[in-house]
Amino acid sequence: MSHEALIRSLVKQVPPVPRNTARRRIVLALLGGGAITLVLVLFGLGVRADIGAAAFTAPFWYKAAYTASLAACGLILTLQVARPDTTRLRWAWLWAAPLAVMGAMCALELASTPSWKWAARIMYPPWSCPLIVLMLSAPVFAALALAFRRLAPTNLPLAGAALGLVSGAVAATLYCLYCEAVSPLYIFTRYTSGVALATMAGAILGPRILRW
Amino acid sequence: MAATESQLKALMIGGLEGDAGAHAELLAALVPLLQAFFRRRLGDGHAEVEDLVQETLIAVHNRRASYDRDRVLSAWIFSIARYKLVDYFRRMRRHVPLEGLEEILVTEGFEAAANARMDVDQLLGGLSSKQSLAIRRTRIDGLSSAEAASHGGISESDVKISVHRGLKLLAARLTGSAR
Repeated sequence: MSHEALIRSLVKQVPPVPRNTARRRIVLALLGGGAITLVLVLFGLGVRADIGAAAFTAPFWYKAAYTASLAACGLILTLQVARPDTTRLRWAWLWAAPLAVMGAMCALELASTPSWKWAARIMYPPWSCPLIVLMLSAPVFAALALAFRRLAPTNLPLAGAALGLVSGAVAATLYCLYCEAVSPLYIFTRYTSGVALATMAGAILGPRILRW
Repeated sequence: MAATESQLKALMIGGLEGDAGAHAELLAALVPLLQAFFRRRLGDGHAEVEDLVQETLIAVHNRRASYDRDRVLSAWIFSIARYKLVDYFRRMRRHVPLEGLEEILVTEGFEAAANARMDVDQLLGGLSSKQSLAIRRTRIDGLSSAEAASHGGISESDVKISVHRGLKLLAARLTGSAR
């Protein structure tokens, strides 16, 4: 096909592209995918029985704040990797801040616990939580991958990781509706692992799913 | 007639607003620029150049939402072209050539960069003599860093650092002035 013929066929459909289209696509994907994950939490796992009382406690909210801040970091990166001419990634290490805060809280908890109890505190209860967060992140990741069909990521493992980070963190935030854990140590290890798993899965899937 | 960044950007924005005519003009104007871009990097593999030009045009058309109107259009266009080139090399399992001076020249101006008629002396004149010499020898004269080092009587890592710093300075200047 000649270049002229290709151009003729391409310009048959030239819909307007408003200014904030990229941002809108990404946010809608987060909302749509998040809604599916919410349904999975509500009907698959079930909201925690003590939600009424828990909503007035601090742990309920700082758990959500932790994961939501990780989601915000992921979103900042996702918006940047959507463009092909992004040369320098800004705020690339922002996610270290919530991790540091949570890490500090863990240190405080360990400090107030006798050391012979530390291993038990870290290992128990079971570690299914990270895997559940990983699975819950799938609808959000899929929705973002769809949104990216009109965007142009040039570093695919990085873009996949950004999508994985925001998907995992959104999933972990919604997972808070079900999970009854209050110990900072638990939250730090399980929730962070879940988000990290989703980020790594995204980095691996990126080159396969986001290629254009 | 040389197509400038501002002319092409006006066409791009017209297309973003739904003007099919402007969009068609933009795509047509991109053809010679993309041909030059790919020819310089692929040599004379004629069919592959035209395939890549068409792949890039399709991507430019389909992924318009990824363009930020406050940014330089040429950088966006060529980053897409470069992505397509890297992907082509990946499919052919070829070694990807290093970008450097060309990448910076590209953001300065379309036509001149594409035809390599850029005034290199003018660009390099703003750098220290050590940096401009290092860049000239390794990127323009095609010497290796080791050869450039022995010519200049300095260490090889000194050459590499000078090139890196010089290119960074140029890039900062050009993106700063292009905005």
